[in-house]
Formats: sequence, C-alpha cells, structure tokens
Amino acid sequence: MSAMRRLGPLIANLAMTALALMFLYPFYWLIVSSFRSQEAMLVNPLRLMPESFDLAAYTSIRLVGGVPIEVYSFNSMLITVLATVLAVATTALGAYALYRRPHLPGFKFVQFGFLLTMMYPAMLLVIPVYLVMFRIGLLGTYAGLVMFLALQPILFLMFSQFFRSIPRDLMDSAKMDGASEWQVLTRVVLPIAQPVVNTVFLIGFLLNWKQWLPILVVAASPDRYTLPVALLAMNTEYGINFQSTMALAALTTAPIVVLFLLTQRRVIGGFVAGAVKG
Amino acid sequence: MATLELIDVCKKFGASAVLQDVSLSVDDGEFVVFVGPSGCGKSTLLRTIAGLEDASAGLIRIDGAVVNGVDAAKRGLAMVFQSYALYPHMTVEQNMAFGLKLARLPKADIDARIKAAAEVLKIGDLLGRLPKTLSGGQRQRVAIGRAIVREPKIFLFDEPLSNLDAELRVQMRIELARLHARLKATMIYVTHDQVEAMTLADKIVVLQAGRVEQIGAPLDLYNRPANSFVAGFIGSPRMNFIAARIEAIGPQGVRAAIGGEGDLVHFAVDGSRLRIGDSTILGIRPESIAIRPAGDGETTGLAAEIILDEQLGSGTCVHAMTRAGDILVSYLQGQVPLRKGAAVRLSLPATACHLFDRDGTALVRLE
Repeated sequence: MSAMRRLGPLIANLAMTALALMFLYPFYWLIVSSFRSQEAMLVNPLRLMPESFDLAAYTSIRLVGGVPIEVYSFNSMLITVLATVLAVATTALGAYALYRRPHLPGFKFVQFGFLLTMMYPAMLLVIPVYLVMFRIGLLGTYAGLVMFLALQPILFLMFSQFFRSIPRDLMDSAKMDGASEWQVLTRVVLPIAQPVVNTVFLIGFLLNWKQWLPILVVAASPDRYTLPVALLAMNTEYGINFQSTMALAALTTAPIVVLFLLTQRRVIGGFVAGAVKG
Repeated sequence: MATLELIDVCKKFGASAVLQDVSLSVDDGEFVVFVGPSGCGKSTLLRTIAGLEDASAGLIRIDGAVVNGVDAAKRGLAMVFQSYALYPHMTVEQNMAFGLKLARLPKADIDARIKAAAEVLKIGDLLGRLPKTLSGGQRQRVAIGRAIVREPKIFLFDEPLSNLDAELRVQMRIELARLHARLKATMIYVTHDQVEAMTLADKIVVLQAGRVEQIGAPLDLYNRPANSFVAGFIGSPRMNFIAARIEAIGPQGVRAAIGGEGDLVHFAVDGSRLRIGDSTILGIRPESIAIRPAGDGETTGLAAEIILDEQLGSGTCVHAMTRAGDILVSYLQGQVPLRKGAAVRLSLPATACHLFDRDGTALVRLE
C-alpha cells in the first residue's frame, strides 16, 4: 500500500513531464533549427543540438519582402494591442448589457449572431470583408485591421459566462445603495472581474497576435503586414529558406511566450475563478 | 421611519402572475413579516416594494407618496439580502460607506454613522476586514450595518437568517428583535420560517400563490386562522385536519360527526352557510388534543393506536391513527410514557376545534 502511495505521484509526475516535453519539443526544435544551415537541416532534421550557433538567419531577416523587420514588429504590436483593447472593451460592455437586460428586443439575436460568427469558416469571410472594407474606405488602414480583429466572439462568451456567475443580489444591493448602472459596472462588477478581464485580455492578445488571413486581406500593402504575414512571405516562388523561416518564427513566437510565462498565474487564476463561481 | 401602503399590487412575469391584488398597510415602527411557502411570491413582493421589480399594476405608497416608477435608491429604503450581498473587494467599512459616498455625504457624517452602527452591532473590530474573512454571523451583522448607516425610512429583510446554522439563527433572531426595539424603525421581513414570523412580527402577512391569505398579529393568526392554509402553516407541529360531516345546524352552532365513528361534536360557529350532510374540515392543534390510555369501559373520545412517539425531552409528540385511518398528532408536555402500538383515546375539546368549509374557509365563531 505504501509502495503504491509512493509510486502513484511518481508515475503522475513522469506522465506530466512526458506531456510537457511533447508540447515543448516543437518550440525547442524551432529554435535549434534557426541556428542550423538549410543543408544540415535537410540531412538530419531531428538533431537536438545545432552544429554551431549560426546567426546568419537572424541577420538575413532584417528585410523581408523588402520591408524592414521593425515595421512588421511595430505593426504586430500596434494592431494586436489596439484590437485587443477594443475587443475587451466592447465585448465586456456587450456581455454586461446582455446579462443585465437579457430581454431587451434584439439581444437574443445579437447573442446568436455572435455564436454564428464562431461557427462561420474564416476563409469564407475573405471576399465579404474585402468588399466591406473597400466600401467604407478602411482597406489598407490600421483602423480597418484593428476593427476587424476586435471582433472576438470567444471573449464575449467568456465575459457572459463570468457575469452570469456574479450573484444578482450584489448588483441589486448596489442599486439600493444608489449606484447608477455605470457605477454598478465600474465600482462593483469590474473590480470583481479584474482577474477575468486580465485573462480575457491575454487570450485576446494571443489570438490576435497569430492572425494572418484577415491582415493579408485587409492590408493593401506589405507596410501594414504583421510578423505572421511576414512569415508567410518567406515562402516564395523560389522555395523556402528553412533557417530564416525558423528564425522569424522564433522572433514571432518569443513575445507571446514571454508574455504567457509572466502572466500564466493570472491567466489560470482567472479561469479557475470563473469556473468555481460558475 | 415611515408608513407603507400597498393597494391591489400585481406582478406578472410574462403570462405568469406572481402577485395578485396584494393590499396591505404597514404602520410607522411596525415589524411586519411576510411568510409563506417557497414560490408564494413573498420575495417578489419585497423586491417590488424595494423598487427592484416594477409592479405590473396597483399602487405602492411610502409615507403617503406613490413610489411606483421611482428608482430603488430614491425610495429611501435599505435592504438586507439573503446572500448578504457584501461587495467582496471592499472592506467592511468601505461596504458600509459605499451608499453614503454615492449620496455624497460629508466624510465626517459617514464616519460618524459607521461608528454608531458598528457600536450597535458590535462590529467595530471588523471594519478593516474583507467579507471573505468573516463568519456567516459577522457578514450578516455587516449587511445589517450597511442598511442602518443609510438611515432608511423602512428596512427590508429578505430571508436574512436562512444561510445561518440553527444556533446562530436563534441568536441573530433575538438580536434583530432587540435592534427593532432600539431603532423603532419600520421593518419588513421575509421568511418561510413560521417560528421567525411568530417571534419577530408585530403583524404577519401570510401569502400563498401570490395572494394574501391573512394579515394579523401572530396570536390572532394562530388562534383565529382565516382558512385551513393559514391554520396549517402557522404553528409547529402543524394543525391536524380531519373530515367532519354536518349533522345538525342551530342558532347555538352546528353538530358534526367526526372520525368515521359518528362521534358528534358541537361547534359554536355560524352555520348559516352550511346544510345538513355538508362535508367540512375539522382542525385542531396538537397541543389541544388530550390523550389517555384506552381503559376498560372507556368510550369517550376517538379510539386510536399510537404509530409513532417522538420524545423531545421537554415534550412528546404522539402520532396516533384512528379507526377511520386519520392520523392525528398530539403534543404533550413533558416525557410521556406512551409507546408505539398502545391503544389510546383522543379527546378533541370543541372549544379548541376550528371548523372549515369545503373550500377551506374558517366558519365564523359565535361569541
């Protein structure tokens, strides 16, 4: 019995380590490959250590498709931050309104509309989005990119789920205390929702950072492209330079990995808070 | 402090009517308890008075002024919720100050009110703590404190003790009664616990299916229930009901046969609405039933057999089945040595009996 007690956690830890390694390996391979020559990679693709730390790929990607890497990085950061802020603000307000006044005319339709956009394949949106952006004059603009990326139904659903978990008495109590609807939201609900807002922001950030199709459609020229689109541009009619592609992929991934590592406790805390209260 | 008047208040959620023609008045300083089974509409009625729900029809007057359509915050009421509804991110002091700050009261006033309320409720040492660090009883006190500092015209309590354990509930009940005596404020209290209703109320409003069944002082409801629902709801153990058939009607009252044995009992009630042969319901409280062992040649009273005895220490609850199959519960003072299976005779004193017509309406007693 005591041997089983000791073995149980050991087996569990080994299984978790193996699972973690399975997830970590592609990232490790990506970084190792960015230091290896194209030829070496093709000869022995699964090698665990590079032959030498060849930084040639990192210097070769200073210009991608004739545009400096700084432009892609700036675009990525600007568009992702603005789109996520807008997405969090609008979905939080929308979900709150829907939670407080579920029976207002049209609200059910809005809710189902949001769900519908999640089920709709993004590829089918290419032509309508292009046409709409063209008609309203936002094609190729930061505003167009930000507005399109701010449409995040999953964030709306996360907020909806959380708001439903807040006891209604709390809001009634605030109303009895003389709070306006805005004060109920800002002074009671949002302070309670802070961990969830953080989680939703991070998820929105991660989802927006990796977007490439809408940006390819809405951005009319490479100077509006983001890092994932630049990564796509590495695949040219002359073939793929694996080493440079891996280097750019490493640079593209690094910020969100760092961001996640710094904030993982909050992200997981936010999920748990929502789950327990729900 | 204030008066409250409800006139034909109705509340509908879609097609379902939750409150129907509720009319009542609450005097200044009165402690009124709304009582009724789950789903009877008592909480909805309280929320409608608070302004958290709009009345579908009828008038609500506070101090004579109609408040239909007036915002909850502007009605001058304070509410203590069943879940306490304390703001989890604020300290006790911030919780109590929240409404006062929104009303832009001077800080000195806010501090003074919080200090006074904390003294009354003995929560002075909790002011810097967050709600999650408090026990259920402490949270309840803070919730009451938050209501007190607002100096409302009327206090509203929505089942405030139902989340507490039995011992704490009794303690808080006594504290609430003391608080009412001290503040002399008008209070409206919702509960499904008839013991709370009986012990706290100046006036009880019994509700069922959104309708007011009876309004009155606790002992009035106990002694003179308007119908069989109120008679059954008020009192613990609940009133016994058995079928009775009218055999004679006269100016002094009616005679009815009970228990399937043809035992005739005289009731001093107005029988003008009855006819010979009518089915009625006899109600008698457990403590009014006299019970004795069936001795040799004993013929008075209903013959019955004990099917369950509950020894409570201070009293004994005896469940006895009559030959007609009716089960009557008798509550006897002290530890009575009556055991399951014993043959007994039950005496139902006519003066302690209530007679209800077929619809459950009490027949008026003749004075």
